[in-house]
Amino acid sequence: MHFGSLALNTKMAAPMVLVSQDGIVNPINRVLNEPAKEASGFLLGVSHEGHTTLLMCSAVDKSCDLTNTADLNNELEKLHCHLPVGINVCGLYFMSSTSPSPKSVTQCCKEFIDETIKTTLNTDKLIIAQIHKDQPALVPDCFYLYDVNTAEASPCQVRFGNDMGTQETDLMTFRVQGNLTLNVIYHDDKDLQEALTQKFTSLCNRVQSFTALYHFQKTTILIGASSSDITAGPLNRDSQARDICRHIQEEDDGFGAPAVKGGKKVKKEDKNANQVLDVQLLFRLSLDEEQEGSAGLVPFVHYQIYNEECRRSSMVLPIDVPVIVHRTTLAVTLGKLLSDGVCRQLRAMEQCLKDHFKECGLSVPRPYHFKLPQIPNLITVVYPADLPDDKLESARRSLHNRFLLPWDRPVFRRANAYSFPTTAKNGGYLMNTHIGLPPSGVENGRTSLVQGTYTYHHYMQDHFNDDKWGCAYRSLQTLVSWFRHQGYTERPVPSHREIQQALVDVGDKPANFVGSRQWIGSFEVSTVLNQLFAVSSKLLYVNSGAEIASKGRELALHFQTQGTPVMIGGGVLAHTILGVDFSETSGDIKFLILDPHYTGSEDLKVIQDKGWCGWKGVDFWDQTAYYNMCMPQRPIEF
Amino acid sequence: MGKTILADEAVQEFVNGQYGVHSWMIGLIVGHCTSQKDFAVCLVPSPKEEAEDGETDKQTTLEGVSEHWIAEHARQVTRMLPGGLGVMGVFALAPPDAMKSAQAKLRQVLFAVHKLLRKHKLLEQGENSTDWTMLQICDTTRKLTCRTFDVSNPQSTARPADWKFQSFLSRWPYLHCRIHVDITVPVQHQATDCGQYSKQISAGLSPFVETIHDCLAIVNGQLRDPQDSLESAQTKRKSGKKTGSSGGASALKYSVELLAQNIKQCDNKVQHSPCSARIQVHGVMESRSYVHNKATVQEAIQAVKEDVIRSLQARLELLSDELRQSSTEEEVKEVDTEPPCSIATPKRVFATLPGTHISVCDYAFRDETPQDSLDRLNELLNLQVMEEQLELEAEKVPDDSDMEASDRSSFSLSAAESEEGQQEARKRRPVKYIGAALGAAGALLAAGLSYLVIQQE
Repeated sequence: MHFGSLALNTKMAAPMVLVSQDGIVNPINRVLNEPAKEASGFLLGVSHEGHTTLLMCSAVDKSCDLTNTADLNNELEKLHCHLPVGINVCGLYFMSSTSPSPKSVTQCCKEFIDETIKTTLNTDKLIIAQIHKDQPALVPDCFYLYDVNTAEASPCQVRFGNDMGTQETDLMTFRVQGNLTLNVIYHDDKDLQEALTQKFTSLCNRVQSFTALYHFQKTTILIGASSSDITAGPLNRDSQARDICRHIQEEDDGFGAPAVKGGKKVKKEDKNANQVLDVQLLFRLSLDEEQEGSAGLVPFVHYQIYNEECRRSSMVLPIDVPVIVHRTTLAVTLGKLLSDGVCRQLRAMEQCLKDHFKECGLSVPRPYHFKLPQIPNLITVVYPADLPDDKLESARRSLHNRFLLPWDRPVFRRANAYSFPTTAKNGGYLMNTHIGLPPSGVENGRTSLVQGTYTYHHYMQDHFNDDKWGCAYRSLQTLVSWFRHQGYTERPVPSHREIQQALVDVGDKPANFVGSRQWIGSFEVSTVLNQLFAVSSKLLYVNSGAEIASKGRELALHFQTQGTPVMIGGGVLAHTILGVDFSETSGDIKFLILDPHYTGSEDLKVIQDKGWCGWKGVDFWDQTAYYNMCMPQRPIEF
Repeated sequence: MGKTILADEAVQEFVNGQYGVHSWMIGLIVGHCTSQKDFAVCLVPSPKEEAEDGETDKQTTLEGVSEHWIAEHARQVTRMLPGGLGVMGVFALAPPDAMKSAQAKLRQVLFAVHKLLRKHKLLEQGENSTDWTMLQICDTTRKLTCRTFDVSNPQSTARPADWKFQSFLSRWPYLHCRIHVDITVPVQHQATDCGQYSKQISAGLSPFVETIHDCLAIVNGQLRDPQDSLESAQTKRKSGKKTGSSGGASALKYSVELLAQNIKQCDNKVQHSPCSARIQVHGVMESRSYVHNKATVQEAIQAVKEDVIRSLQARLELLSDELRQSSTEEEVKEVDTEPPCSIATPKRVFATLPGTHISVCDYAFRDETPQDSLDRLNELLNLQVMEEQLELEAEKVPDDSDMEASDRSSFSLSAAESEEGQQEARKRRPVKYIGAALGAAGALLAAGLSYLVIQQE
């Protein structure tokens, strides 16, 4: 449902605010259920033409006193480092000892919001969720609209829901990339801090100056960072962000239709509807003919000597910034938004360099983007290149806190980082091959699937011929890939030989097992997972293929709580189970199977069309053979 | 099938004027090479080498010329050419018997010129063609013999080529670019004298050269497909206006802007080095380039990049030469001349090749007179122009007040842009100009000493 049309039907002056159930209501209520029963922080979302959609929330640090504006401002700055430009702080939520009312909201807000905060937030209206201490739950009655200028609160109509359909279609994402060189010159470590502050300020100034230009890749469009000039290309003053898509030229791959002219073809807009558009940051070296009025002077050479022997450190900052805009945003205003995004990331990099200096010296700050479950936008975190994940636990702890995430699974490890479709590199393995399959066909079934990302491992890959014997090894590889992609391990996916060696090392097999072509089963798979990755597994035995149908509920529960792929083997062939579709009413069940016996090339269409990855009925199993399943359990860690 | 070299009609006029005037003559062919054909724009006779004792010319024969001398001439000529033009061969004019005995020498000259230019990085990156032209003009029969040699291969033999006269220069597009230079060179150890200093300056140039090579460029405000023909869009754009038969140079003018993109992958490494000083080079350069009228956008941009790099290189080399001279001049008085705190590079002074819109240039220091430029244009390019034909104002040399202002505020742009912008220098020496030394250098030339100084390898 489009909430804009819903707003038209109401008689309220203020339009209804859509609040994400999974992004805001559930996380806050989960935190409120913890023993401390404390929750306060920011409500984040998008506003367009008076309509506000709250997409996600963040928490302030436990030590933060909301009434201390310096604290609050500091929290806001930290938060901004993670948010893409386009996702804004739209409001606050906090606990109070009074029940929510316009009067008490006004009273609280007056304490929180001073001129500084007002400037930082840069909005006239805030959405306030006041939660009563005695009724610790976020409900629609908690919400108020607070006018920052008049300091008046009024009730706010909200709707909880998850249909963020408007988001998908009305927003578009630009990804700005560019390498900026950072050179700092300093005497000592103390001096370095100051030098860094200066350098980043000057980099930001440069990015915001007229010399910065954004090149929309595969187009001839260039947009300036300031003075809202569309320097070049087919756009005009009235063009909107979405118009850029129409000018994307696909490189001729030599296989497509005969090129019209110049070997390029222009893409249709709708094809790019949910695509991320790549943008490159450039800097002008030339002066525009128009700007040359004041003729510059010929180059001259300055020589400056430092008082003391200095050190110079130089590095390349890998800028990578997602910027979210509404599709109807005027193109002339994009430059400013993109520059804001780049500057925000520069500040985050500066902070990263300073925060981790004691631990690892100067280390290249590298941005990673994370797609949190149920949140449409990306969250960006900058980590120092020289600190491995295990040294960043405290940083992750505060991130989990900030984004109201439980500490039971990795979310912000490097391996969890989102990879943009254009740069996805998985060593040639296909990822999540089940995406795009037709529904299983079970009526009233509940689909429970593997959670997260895995890669498809099958016969003949890695230039290794394991046809007829390696299926369980390949299934194990798929299981391991899941643990890698979810950030539980950085260890590479083991080869057949490494798997065999692990089984010898643990005393399960004799030494001559290494290099052999012997089959392994579920038990061996669980042993290797435990030996190499410290992952424990639950083993499930069935006497016959027919009996697997009765394990539907158990499997569904596994996918809901653990979400790991399951290896199934036994008397006959080994497979990987990626999910089940199970109807409680009829008992009907289908299994989502990934078949490691495939010997073809990495062609998703073939794999899906020929059923190498697909929904299978109970008859898929050999009705007389016995089976056992290895169900890996995710370790509780983050 | 030999290569075709098209020579502009102005070249024909020049050749016709030389018959019977000299006993012999050798010089450079200046033009533009493409993979299909070459364009010869002008012939530049090399000045005769003067004997050290100032007595009679020792090289009385064509056979006796020094290939190093011609190569050095080529080096200095290249500095004076706009982007798109370069030395592409050697020509000689002599009676048949002299020509015949000089064959081996001519080949030597051709290879020596190429070698020196390559050493000084004065050839276009990824040269379009290493087939260089040798044109032999018979003073008696007025017959032109044209051959090409692959100068990248020392064993290569002559191949016949087709030399044709044609009028084409008037249609050549002119590419204009003003480029803002802002380079910071970190210095590990302070320079004790100007000689060291000049080495540090030139060493710091390579990142700039890389940046320029990696640049994107917009032409007349448009980012264009590199493979497109430069002229196609222009005619389309102009077609609406129908400005009549303008045909003048302004119709052929394209404005080019260079855009830096840092495409170097971030390797997660931090480079640390000691640093005791820094050299900053900044200012604005006027760049002019020319390409043939069928050139692609890519060729045009390449020509501009070539000119920008060549021009900065030339300025810094000239500055270095001056610095070195000033440090040795007064050796008696001052053991080590400290590098000056601020010094301006020479400015570019333009003059057009007669009968064309093609600009060539000279670099003149602050205290040099237009006559100095005229002398050099005459001596090195054989160009006879009047002072009023010189374009002196294309670039501005800072006067004292500019220098002081810039000392205080740096360059207007650099506050926002300078790579090391905000970093304050810890210590400033008093501003010291080496104007006096430059004056002395000018005087040397006036005294009749050749501007050419052979730099032996």
